[in-house]
Amino acid sequence: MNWRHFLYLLYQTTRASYLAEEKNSSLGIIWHLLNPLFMTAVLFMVFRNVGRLGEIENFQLYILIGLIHYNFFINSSQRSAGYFVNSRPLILNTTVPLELLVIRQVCIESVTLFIEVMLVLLLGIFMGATLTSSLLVYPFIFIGVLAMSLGASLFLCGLAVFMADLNYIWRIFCRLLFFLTPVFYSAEIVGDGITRSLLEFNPLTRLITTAREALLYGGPITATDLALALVGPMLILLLGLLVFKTNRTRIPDYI
Amino acid sequence: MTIRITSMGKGFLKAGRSRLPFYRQLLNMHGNRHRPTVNVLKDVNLEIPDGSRVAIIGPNGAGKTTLLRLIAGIYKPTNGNINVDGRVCCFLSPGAGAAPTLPVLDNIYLYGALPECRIGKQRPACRGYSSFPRSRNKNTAG
Repeated sequence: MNWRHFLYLLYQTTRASYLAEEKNSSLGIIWHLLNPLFMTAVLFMVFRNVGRLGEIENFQLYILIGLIHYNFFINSSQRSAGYFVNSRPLILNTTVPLELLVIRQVCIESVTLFIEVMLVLLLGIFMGATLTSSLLVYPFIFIGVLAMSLGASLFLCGLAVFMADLNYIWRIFCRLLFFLTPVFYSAEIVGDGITRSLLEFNPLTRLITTAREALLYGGPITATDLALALVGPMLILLLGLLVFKTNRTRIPDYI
Repeated sequence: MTIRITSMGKGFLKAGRSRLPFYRQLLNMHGNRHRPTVNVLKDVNLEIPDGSRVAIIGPNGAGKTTLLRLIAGIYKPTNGNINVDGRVCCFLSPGAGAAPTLPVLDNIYLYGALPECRIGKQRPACRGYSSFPRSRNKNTAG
């Protein structure tokens, strides 16, 4: 299969999945926007008076940016965890490339993330946030989140067929990750120690921090900051590719 | 296109992996040599020359679908070789991959993309279906 056909098939299957999902919904894509907005509202109301959190500039958008990137990662990876087992007829009866099915899951979520980022920019302009040339760095962050989600999805798809329990383990991991990612707090308030180390080790921390600088604060983002933010996601992508490639040929035998 | 199969066999593991405890699933993932297998196909030799039409007939569970999946490249043979000189356009089950909640036209585009149809080839095929409305709420393929 050549690249042109691969992309065409990716477009058609993503479009079909998206339309099928939104078909019976009265609000369609609006639901994807309402979910982080309501969650942001609740987190803002609860935490604005807690400690130094209320001092964070544009705290609402600060939470929203963290939330949409975290949601993108967990939604796309959780979609993928049980996907192959649920797509048995498609995999066993057509020659559709398995990689395409994984990429499709991430593509569906990336459409949502793109719309959410547009919403953040609109709200930012409305709330007087600073938009500078740092915004031009954001596409690299987008690619970083995409690579990280794709890596996790490939990892899960490559293993979940053989280990049914992985689906449940991943859900617990995602719940823990929410609190180990600075979505509604800043990494500085945690102080030093093992929790800070875990935060620093989490690739989402750097991606979200850089995304906030690009979309909200307009602060300077150096090439080193960007490179450090992208190292973790690229390593996860490599690990995912390795696991998927190792198990790929045996997946149809097990589903 | 010529299909040549020589001394090909295909076996599947007997027990469902999900029934094993997690730590054994993890440990046994690459150590399946000691687990019992079911040999669905054994020592298959077959040659299908270019332009010929071949029907594969057999009772339930004989391995007809498995053989077709092996030829299509969906399964890999446990032993032996399969040489396919050309491209396999494979649809082993009508409806696989179709979205029953989508309109007919959308399904034609989706279905046409799956078996590596040339891009844009679906468009002339869709002319016959132009009377099907593209409404998102009515006239779904399902």
